[in-house]
Amino acid sequence: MTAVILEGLSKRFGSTVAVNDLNLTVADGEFFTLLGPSGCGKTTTLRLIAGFETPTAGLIRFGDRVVNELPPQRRNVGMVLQNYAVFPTMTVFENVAYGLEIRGIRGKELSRRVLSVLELVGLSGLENRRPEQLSGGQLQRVALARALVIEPEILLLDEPLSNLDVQLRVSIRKEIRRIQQALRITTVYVTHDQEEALALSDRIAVLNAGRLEQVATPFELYRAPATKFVARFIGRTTVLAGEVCDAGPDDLVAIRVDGGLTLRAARLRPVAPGERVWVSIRPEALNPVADPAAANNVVSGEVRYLEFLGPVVRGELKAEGVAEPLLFELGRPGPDWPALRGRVLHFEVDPALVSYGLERP
Amino acid sequence: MPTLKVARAEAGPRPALKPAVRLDPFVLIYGVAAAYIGAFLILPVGRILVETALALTGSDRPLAEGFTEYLARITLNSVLVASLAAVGSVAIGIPVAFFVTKVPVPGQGLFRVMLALPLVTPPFISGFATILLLGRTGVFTQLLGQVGVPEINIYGAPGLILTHILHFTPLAFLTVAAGLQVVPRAIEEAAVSLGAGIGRAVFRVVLPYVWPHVLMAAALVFLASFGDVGAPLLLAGNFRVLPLETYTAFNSFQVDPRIALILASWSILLAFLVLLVVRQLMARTGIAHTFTTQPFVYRDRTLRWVGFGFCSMVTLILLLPYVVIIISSFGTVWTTGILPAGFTLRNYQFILNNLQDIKNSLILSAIATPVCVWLALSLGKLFRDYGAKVTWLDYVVLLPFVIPGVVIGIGLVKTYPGFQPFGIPALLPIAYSIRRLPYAVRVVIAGYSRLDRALEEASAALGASGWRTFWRVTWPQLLPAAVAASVVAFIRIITELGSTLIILPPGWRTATVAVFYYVAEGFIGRASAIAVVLVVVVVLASALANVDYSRIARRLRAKR
Ligand SMILES: Nc1ncnc2c1ncn2[C@@H]1O[C@H](COP(=O)(O)OP(=O)(O)OP(=O)(O)O)[C@@H](O)[C@H]1O
Ligand SMILES: [Mg+2]
Repeated sequence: MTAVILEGLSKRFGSTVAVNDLNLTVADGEFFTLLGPSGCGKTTTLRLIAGFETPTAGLIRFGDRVVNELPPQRRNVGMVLQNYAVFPTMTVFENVAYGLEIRGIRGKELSRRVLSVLELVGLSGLENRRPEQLSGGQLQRVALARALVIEPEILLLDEPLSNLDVQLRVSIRKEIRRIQQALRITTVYVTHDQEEALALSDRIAVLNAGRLEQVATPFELYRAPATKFVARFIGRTTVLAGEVCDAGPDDLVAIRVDGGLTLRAARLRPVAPGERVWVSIRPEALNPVADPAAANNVVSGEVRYLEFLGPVVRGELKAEGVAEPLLFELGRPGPDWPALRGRVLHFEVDPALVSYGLERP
Repeated sequence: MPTLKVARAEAGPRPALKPAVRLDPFVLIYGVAAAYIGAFLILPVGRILVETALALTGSDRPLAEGFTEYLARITLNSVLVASLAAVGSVAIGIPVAFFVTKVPVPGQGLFRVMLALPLVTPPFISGFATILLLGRTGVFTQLLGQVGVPEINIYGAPGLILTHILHFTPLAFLTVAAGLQVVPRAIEEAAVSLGAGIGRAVFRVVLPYVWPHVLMAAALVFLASFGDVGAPLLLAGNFRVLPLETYTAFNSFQVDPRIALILASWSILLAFLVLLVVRQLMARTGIAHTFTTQPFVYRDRTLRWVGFGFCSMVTLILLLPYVVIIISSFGTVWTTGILPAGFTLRNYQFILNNLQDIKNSLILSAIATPVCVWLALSLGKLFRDYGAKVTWLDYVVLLPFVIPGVVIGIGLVKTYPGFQPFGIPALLPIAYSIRRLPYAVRVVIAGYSRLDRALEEASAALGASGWRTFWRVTWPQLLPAAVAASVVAFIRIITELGSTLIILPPGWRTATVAVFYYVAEGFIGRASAIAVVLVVVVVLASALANVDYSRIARRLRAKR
């Protein structure tokens, strides 16, 4: 099938730069997610790929074909949108058949293909329903079936789950992933929900204000965020400012954070002593220890704030030598968890869950 | 499970896509619509302006003495009538709108329906009723005379203003009600929960919020009153107003022909001015119309009954003219007493035997309505697809709304004298389709705005051409709006008077014009009867407009 390549892609609306010099390669058959806060240009990027917007600058390639000039009708992409956009005047069957009719497919072949896709998305038996007789989740499946039936080279999904309730969202996202895996179709998925992105994607591109922050697998993105923005946006974390004091020959880097404490982080990228860096410490990096003297890379401090979340209690630690409160989590809390408030706790910090990067000037 | 993989293997090579048409396939349609509007709106209006300029510069002969004062006087007269009509209508319309939307007065639905009647009938019907009620031998004049009140002369400004207030109050009411309907519940709830009394909430929170609608209501009434020629024709007496003077100057052979031109140009310039104001207001009132919420209601017993009393009174007064016309249509002579001297069906018999007027009206409307709706649909699509790039078209489409019908008629007659292909007086349907275009466009644009653009994009992404997308996706959803626009256009067209009076070719007298002839010749009963027929046609049509077509369409599809 087809790779999607964006080269120096930009789009401005008047004075707003919605997409700013984007360079991306979505590999053939890959599940690729565009992730970012509201207004960062995800939808615009998707519409550029689909052909509904024309780029201000840059190239869009499908494989080795430049498609900039190609109208949406001829790009052969499947699109699924947040509000489904199921044709209200057609039945489920007619909705799905529409794209095939355009391609001149009729009769037995048409119904066979429509029915097989409806089965794929789990809508068998609802062919003759009208859109107003379907639930939100079913509408979403119709939209998906309609996009898939034309065997698009590329599947584009724009927040397809955001109008569904939480449980449905989780179950349909599994479906989407299963179908994508079965068909091995190149998929670009837009969401602002980081959990959804981590759960679904082969790779994720994080966008911020029209610019690319980082492209990586979910694991890398979580463990080795390239920028402070990515560290904050994916998962929970405490971001501190500090200075490299030892870039060391071994695989650890020592960083003195503002406040005076020195912490060690696994080496991610080259830095030199004296350089200003941001440091991101995931809450699960903090493992409680009874005896601080027996451990390395220790933070100690008073529990300032604590909330019960079911599997864990999450709190803020006013640690000695650290300017900002540190987020931590304690698993399997007991009934006496409120007693932890105000107590002094000691944690060993796992360097693998600490990341850092140069402060942008 | 048979996956798509299997299907793909069997399907063989992917069928090639048809090459897409790069040019918007609707360009031709837009072109024809633009040419039509250019030829029958821009050109005639431009021609009047140019001819006026040429006539003024090309001749040394001075205009009649005192012309400037005359022009100033009739302009002031027109402005006076229109302003007072606007103030009066809005003053009555606001409380009615408030009671009907914000206080559940008993029978609010009925009030809404009954108050819609003057909206669909032409103003000269109200003018006619004013004469029947308050004219020299009117019912009220006589009743008041019996208790010793001296006769009031309603021919002139008072009658005109009164008629226009009676006639246009529903327009003000509906415009303000539309605003009240969409005041977000939350802001009123907040005001009331902060302890504001009803009065304070209304004056501090609600009225400021719907202020654009109030201004819009005033502007609409002002425009309608300013451009009306029908009521002045019956009622103005020696009180001269702009459209009527334009009409008489154009039709008279004694008056300097330049006068009609100057008056027409002057109306056009004034219209441009008002247009700028209306356009601003439209932008501010239009957005709110796209969503509807359940409006906040003020539960208060006293207010309920005060409101009921007020609405009943207003409705009674506004509907009285129609009652009088109906009685008069069944009457013989009605010059003394509160009822006609005798009752008869002769008036209707006469009309049945002389159906030509009504036939003419129906034929001309039947030609003009589809043209008008087709124009509206084309322009609506143009707006939707290229909205940002064609904002100037907004002004063009509003133009026939602000320029009096008399002036549009003059422009057409001057530009296309004697244009009668196949014996059809084509200028009449042309004038109608242009004049009533704003009404149809409004309905069509509302219809388009309810369509989700994502549907059209989804269709394009599936490979459909613009043409196919329109017919398969857009049109089925647009159909109800197209039907509604047709009805609205038909109602407005069949009651049109201004341009009809100017163009009127021999043998093509319409029902509206017939009313005037009968009044002028003293056949009050016949005039009433034909007015009743006209009102019935229009009410039937608007009843059709209120049918929920999308529901019927859905049901029909479900059956199929
Ligand atoms: N047609 C348009 N005209 C003008 N500005 C636009 C247009 N479409 C998008 N923008 C602007 O471009 C920026 C990016 O918009 P976009 O819709 O791509 O964001 P997004 O990442 O999809 O956000 P969300 O998560 O809220 O959907 C925004 O600032 C938006 O206001
Ligand atoms: Mg978006």
